[in-house]
Amino acid sequence: MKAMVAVKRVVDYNVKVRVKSDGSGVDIANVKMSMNPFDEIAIEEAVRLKEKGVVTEIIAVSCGVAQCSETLRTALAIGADRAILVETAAELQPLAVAKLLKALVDKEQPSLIILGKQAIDDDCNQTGQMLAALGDWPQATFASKVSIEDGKLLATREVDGGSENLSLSLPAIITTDLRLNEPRYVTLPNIMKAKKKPLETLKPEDLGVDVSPRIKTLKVVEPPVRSAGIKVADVAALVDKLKNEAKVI
Amino acid sequence: MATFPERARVVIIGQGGIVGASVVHHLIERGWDNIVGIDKSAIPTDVGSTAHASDFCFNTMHDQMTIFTTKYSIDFYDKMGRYERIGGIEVARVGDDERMVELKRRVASGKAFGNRVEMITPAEAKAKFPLLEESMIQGALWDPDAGLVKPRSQMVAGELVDAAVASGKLASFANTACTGLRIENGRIQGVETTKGYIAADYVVVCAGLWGRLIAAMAGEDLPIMPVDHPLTFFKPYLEFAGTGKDIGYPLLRDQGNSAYLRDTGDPKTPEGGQIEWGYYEEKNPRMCHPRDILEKEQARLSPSQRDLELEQIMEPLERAMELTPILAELGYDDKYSFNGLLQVTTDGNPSIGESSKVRGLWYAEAVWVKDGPGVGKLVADWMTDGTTHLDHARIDVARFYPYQQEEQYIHDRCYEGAFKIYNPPVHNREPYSAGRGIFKSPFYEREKALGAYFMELSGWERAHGYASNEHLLAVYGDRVPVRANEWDNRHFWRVSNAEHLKMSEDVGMINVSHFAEFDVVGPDAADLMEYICVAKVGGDTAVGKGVYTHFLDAKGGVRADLTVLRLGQDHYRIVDGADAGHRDFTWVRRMAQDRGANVTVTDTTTEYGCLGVWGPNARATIEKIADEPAAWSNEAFPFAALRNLKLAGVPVLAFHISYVGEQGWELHFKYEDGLALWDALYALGVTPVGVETYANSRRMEKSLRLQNGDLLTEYNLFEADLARPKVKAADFHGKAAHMAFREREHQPATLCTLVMTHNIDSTGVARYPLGNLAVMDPETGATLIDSQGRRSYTTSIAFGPTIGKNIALAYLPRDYCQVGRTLQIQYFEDIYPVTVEAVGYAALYDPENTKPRS
Repeated sequence: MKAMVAVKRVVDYNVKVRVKSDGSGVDIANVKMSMNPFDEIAIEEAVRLKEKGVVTEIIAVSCGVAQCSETLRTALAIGADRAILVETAAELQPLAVAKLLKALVDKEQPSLIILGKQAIDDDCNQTGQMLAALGDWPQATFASKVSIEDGKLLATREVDGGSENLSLSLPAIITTDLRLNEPRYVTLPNIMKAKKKPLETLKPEDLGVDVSPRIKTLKVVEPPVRSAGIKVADVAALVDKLKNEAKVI
Repeated sequence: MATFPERARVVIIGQGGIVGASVVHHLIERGWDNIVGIDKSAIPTDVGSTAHASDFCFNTMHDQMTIFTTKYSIDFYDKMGRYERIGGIEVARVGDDERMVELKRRVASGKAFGNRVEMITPAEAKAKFPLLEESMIQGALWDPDAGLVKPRSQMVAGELVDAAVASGKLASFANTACTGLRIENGRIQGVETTKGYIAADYVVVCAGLWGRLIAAMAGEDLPIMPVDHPLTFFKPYLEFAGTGKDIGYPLLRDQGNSAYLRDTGDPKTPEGGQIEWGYYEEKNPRMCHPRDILEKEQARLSPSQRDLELEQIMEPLERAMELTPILAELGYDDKYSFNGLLQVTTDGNPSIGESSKVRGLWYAEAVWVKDGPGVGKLVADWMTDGTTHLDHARIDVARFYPYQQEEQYIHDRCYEGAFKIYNPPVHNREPYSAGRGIFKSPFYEREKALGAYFMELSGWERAHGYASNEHLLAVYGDRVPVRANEWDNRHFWRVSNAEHLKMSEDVGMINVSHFAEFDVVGPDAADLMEYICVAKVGGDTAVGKGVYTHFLDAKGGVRADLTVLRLGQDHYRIVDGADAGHRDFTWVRRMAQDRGANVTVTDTTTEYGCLGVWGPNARATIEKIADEPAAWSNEAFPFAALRNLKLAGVPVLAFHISYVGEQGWELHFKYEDGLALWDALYALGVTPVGVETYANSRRMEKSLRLQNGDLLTEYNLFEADLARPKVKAADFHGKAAHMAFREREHQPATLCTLVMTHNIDSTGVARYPLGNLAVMDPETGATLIDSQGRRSYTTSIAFGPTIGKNIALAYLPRDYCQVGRTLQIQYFEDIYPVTVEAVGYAALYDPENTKPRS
């Protein structure tokens, strides 16, 4: 069984991001970039399925600038067998990525497509769902447990008030929740071996996909700085403030 | 938190790091009170290098001061219950013979300065550290006192500050940045902070990585620089799960790969359950001026923990995996591995002590965790007593000349230093390639044309020998041994010794333009100089006289040796070694300030040049170009006298003195006149002689003592055997202590001259040692220690070609001060016999000192 995993290169979660002075976006020059943490969970899950003998080949894919190849090398180090980079300097929105992935799925015919539930940079939480729609495949989003039995994908989703157990026919889309697994630390020999694994680079044109943005960003602003608190005279004053100003009780 | 005070006795800037915390602890211990500590961030620090330091201590260096500060610090942490004396291993890989030899040198230095390091076999190393690939190493050093500050030096800093606050003697203020220093009339007045102004008598800068930014507020700079130090983490390492240990195995250093490795103990301890691997860049160190360090709000991990790309360290990591395969088995933590900032310095030593520009402004900068408490003690003693129990010349921030505070110089030297933190072993004579050619003598171009072998001292390019003299080896070669050992021969030129012999038979000229010179002029000059110097230089001391004398510290230790020329009633010129020049210049200025003396002290080093013309034919040669030949006769111009005369039409201030034990003069002249003088002498066939003869080979044959080498503040003038029989009537600095030393029935130690009677090593090679070698009792093999606890080691050592032996100076305990007695010295792993040739000052060459007076 072939699995495809999509990984995104994002600003490292520890970076304190700053908005560009012209409000056009976030400044990512000279900051540490890493694999989107949910995508790390996705690749880890694929590798675990391979280690269980369920999956036979893992293809990691990424869309974006040339440096996304570094993110793919990380995926290869974790255990992907080969990688495909759809290289473009254009701004990529979820629909464009979903279309690119659709084209790659058509090409590679994987039985399982695993994505992070969202990327920590734009927080869209859309690509997996759009891909499922484009291909008319079943989807299990926010999966916290995954197994494959008798040719069916069994997935547990965390929902309000409990969990939901789904059984999906293959091919299917999974988007990963934080609790699905804890990704491993990669050993140095695997990092070195990853450098030698195949990495194919395509252009959106090669896949016949128009990646032009459909949504225009008007302005990006910093969240307001938290204003200083005040001291209240007594409990009564505090209750009054909470009730009438903050309106939280 | 109390309101921010308006004044304090002492303000400590950078209270939250291990240095600030150690300084305040020791100040309180020495009785100080009313101290305010501020830090730009948290206390203990969350942004400084203390917050991320690896916190391990090894005590395997080659100098007395570092061995002391590290030993003191280890014992200090231990007493607090914050030290795991787990031991440490330094390995030499198979094929890395240079490292193996260096480990043996470290053991020998430990023997000299007092630690417990020893060599162990690969099997012993493996037994102590099972993660090691035994077949990869040829040997190892074991330091039983190495260990880890547990759980973190950050916690120790916090505990020290808490205790200081609890004592009521410290008020500490976190998130209080220093924004300016108020200075009036060359003295610190107080500190501007984000919480307001605070007046202070003393300010101690312990700001670590940010120290230079504080110094800039005082209009100066410090010759230190932050540099990236990759620290990486591999996990999960569960060997010590459930043990509660902070560290389970000894520390491992693989300096041949510029790296170290340690486990972090039980996964339940802070940062436990990992293998930490650290590295010092050997190819492309990345430095970061403190103004470019990010603020806490901007940094991903912390301002002093910068991003690390695995690719930067992949090559050494691959080598590390061969030695310690565990690194290949565990996972690499890309998110927490980082480049920690630490500081390198222009000369390998820290910047400690009072600013040479601003009284009351003190620094304790570029100090590692392993030396923090030791430096805290030194600073407290120094501020309290004006002295420290060990000579602090090598760490004194006042040692730096103005050119050493230039940003480009600091950058270039620190960059070079950053390559050598671990590897390669730094040679005793190791030259820098950066920051060269700062000062050149008037003869520089001539010397270059003669194929001079230049080395640098205090910015001056000095010829150690001249290729043009190679032909002398045909004459003297049989008396100038070939140094077959590469280490002994490194940065040494055999021709230097041939020049030495030629000078002794004829006449040579030695360029000593590097002398530091400064003038003390004014109505109080004579009184001030009389107070500073041990010898009589004021009062009715004749104008035109030169006096070799010393400065003592308040406890009577020998602090400076130099020559004082009385040029006029109110005009003195001090001629000093380049190495000590700026400290002594600063000392004179401080003394003038403290005593309210009406004098000006001016550095004239680059205004004047100096050429020594020495040898049995010196007078005969000089007479040929003298305007008044008769003026150079012994009658007209007695020994130790000064005369203004002319040679080849060039006005010279001639000083009838010799540091090379031959007839002749130091000729001082205006810098621009130097070339004409050189050309005139060269035309007469005077041999240019490299400074090697002056500084080393003949100096040893004459048993001449050198400040910061043989003369140290921990010894007095009687022990150095340089005290004059009579003590002058006038008061002088350190006199009370000096008199008390004089009253002793015996001195506990005396500086003696030793000669190596056998110099063939265990491989059959004749050795020409350098460095500080332990002097040992042949009966016990133990290093000699005097009644004051001072250890005996060679303070100078060099081969003397006239005597034909290796000659050393060393302080020996009184019981061993017997001429003819055989002792031992250790050089690398071999032990050699030496005999005591002289107790106290007595020269092997021309002991009656008739030649210089001839």
